[in-house]
Amino acid sequence: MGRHDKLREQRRPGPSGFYEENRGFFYSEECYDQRMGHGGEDFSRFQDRRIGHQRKNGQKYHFDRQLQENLGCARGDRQDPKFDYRKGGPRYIPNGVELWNRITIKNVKVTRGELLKSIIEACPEPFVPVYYHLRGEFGFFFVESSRAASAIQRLHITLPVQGKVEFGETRCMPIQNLPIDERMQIKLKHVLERRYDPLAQSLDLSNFHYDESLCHEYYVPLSRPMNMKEVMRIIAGNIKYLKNLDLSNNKLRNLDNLEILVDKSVEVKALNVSNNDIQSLNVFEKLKGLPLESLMLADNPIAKRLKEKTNDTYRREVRRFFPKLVILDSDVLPVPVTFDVKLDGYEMPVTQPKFLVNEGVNAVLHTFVNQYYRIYDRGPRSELSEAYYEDVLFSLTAAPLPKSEGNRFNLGTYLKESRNLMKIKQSSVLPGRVRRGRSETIKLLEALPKSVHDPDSFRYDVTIITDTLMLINLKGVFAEGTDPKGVFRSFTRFFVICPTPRGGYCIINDFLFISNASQAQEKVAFKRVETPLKIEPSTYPLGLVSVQREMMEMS
Amino acid sequence: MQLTYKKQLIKTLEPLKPAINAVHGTDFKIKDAVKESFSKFKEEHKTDIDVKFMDIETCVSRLEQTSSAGVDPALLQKLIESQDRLSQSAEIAEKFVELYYDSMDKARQKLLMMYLDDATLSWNGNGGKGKAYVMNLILAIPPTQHEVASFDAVPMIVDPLPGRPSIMILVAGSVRFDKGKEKAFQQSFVLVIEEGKGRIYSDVFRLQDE
Repeated sequence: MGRHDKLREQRRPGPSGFYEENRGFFYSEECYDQRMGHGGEDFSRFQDRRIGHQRKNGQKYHFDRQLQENLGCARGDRQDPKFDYRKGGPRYIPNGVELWNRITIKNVKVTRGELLKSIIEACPEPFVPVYYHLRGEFGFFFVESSRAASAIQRLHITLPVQGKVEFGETRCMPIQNLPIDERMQIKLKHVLERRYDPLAQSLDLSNFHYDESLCHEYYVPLSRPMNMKEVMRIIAGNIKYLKNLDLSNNKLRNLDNLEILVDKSVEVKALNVSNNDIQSLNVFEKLKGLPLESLMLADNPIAKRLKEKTNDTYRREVRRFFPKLVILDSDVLPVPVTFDVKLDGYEMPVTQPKFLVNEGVNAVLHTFVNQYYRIYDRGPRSELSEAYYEDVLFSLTAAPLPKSEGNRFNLGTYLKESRNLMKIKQSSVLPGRVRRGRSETIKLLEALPKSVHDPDSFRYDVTIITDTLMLINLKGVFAEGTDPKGVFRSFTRFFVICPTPRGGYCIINDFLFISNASQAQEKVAFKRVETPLKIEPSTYPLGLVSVQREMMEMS
Repeated sequence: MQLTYKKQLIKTLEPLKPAINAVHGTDFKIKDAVKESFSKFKEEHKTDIDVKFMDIETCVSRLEQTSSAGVDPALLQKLIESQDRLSQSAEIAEKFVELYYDSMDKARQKLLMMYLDDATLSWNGNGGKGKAYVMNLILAIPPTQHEVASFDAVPMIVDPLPGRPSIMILVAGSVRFDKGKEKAFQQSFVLVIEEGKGRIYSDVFRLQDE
């Protein structure tokens, strides 16, 4: 009795006790690794100490203690009320830790598969048996729901070789981490392979600890950093592009270890972390590098909290981390401006070659522009008179490049005819004149030097489309003369076209701006075209049709 | 300024000299006729057309085309009306360009007020409609320093918003983003005129290099 007292004293919680040492560290899910390193290994220190100490006292305690230590559980010995925390025992259980239930089976003689199958079939409550293993004659497995556990305990099963199955049940702390050895790594790889859908390029890691092939042998919840790290490492080593990564239902508190995906530049387009335990959006801090387009964050404490404020706040906050996000919790967000290109150290929206406020006009746009420039390049430009409205307003402006770019070629021919309202401010001369009407316009166009346009350099912006008009802004590069290796000019044409009664289009307002092509433009000009565009007149479809007086009445 | 204007006028009238001589006998009659009708028109309509934007040459060349037997006052009036619109648009454009680039460089919030509610903006091909998009984009662009080299403005023959006169402006110049290198740009606007001021209905910005 005396010796027992001593033991009991030592086992009591207290300032110097073992329990206090581990209090707060031992039981928290995340802190398993913080405290234990790999989990399990360091703890064996304490294990040995106590075991060595208690060996003196007989088999019973030794056995039980080892069990406790290995499994991170309270003692299964119900008969000792002092150490049964169900009756207000000494163990400290911090908040948020859900207790598991350990089912003990005496004298196991059948295979795991048989046994578990029979139990699952017989039990009225659904459950998943986790981490089944044998210790001596005893078989143990863990069950999360206590209802199922108590149901199991009351089962009466008889198996052929086994005889009557005797159950023991107790509450216990969550299963401690197991060190990840080769065998487990291979197992994990198999699991990941199975859960990866190559057609949809999606990886489903929801409820990972309940994975059928995994849970009977191991308990690998992704909420524990060690496990998450390992899984992410395997992913990063094998998959480069993931359309969808599903991490729901994993009791995740933070997503730190997803950082590995960012480091190894795995492209994840959609991430599902719904039904987890994320308390703050800062978990995404390290994941900013992911090119996420869709995020599911529902059923997380943070989501509920943010949504209480307003939907807008929720979206805005999430957008701060993932500006390119398009879908949030199955809500489509308005298309954001993407920041990709760094211009002089600042992030700018990426240049798009084309913007059409309504995609339907694409065909008309291309037809018209291509026809126009075919005739323009080939000549004679008088054929273009059909493309112009009777009372068109045409204005030409020319200006040199900014001084820093340098101007290799003289813009004299254009400057002569150019109209620039800035001139009045700068030098008080007449600004130049606007050409009215077809004949003046064609006269001017014919006076300009011959040209060869580079269709690859064309950049379109169509911002206004109505029944009566279409506003087109076209920017590009052309070479003077017939030789595409001659003098390069850059032009911007801002014009309005109207549909004509005969089914074609004509220009009613036309602005032409000409400058020298910059060095950057020169480099990429005419990379594809070797010969200037030469097309026979017979292949022209009817597009440029003359307009009648009806047009005037339209306006 | 008056001197150069006169010189230009005389220069343009030179090729007409033989025709005028043949019909009217002296060089200056057309010029006087134009001026007279012009001043009459001004008095009648009590407008104060700014001479600097007047394209007298255009008037004269048109007259040459349409009638060789003297100046038709009705046609001249029509021409002057259209010239009026032209010069009016030029004035509005002048004020607008100054205000726009000033606000863009120094106070972007002011800029947002200049856009209509359903304006369309396209910045290097990134386009969208509506004030929210415009705000988003404008505030996302890094600090700029614009230098306008040239701009030109004409009234639109068919107005995109029926009943509301509009003008088209094409601006070219150079811009520095956040004190970086100078880059050539071209920007085109469609302004809808309300109470003598223009509000942006369409805005297309393109850097020349890209």
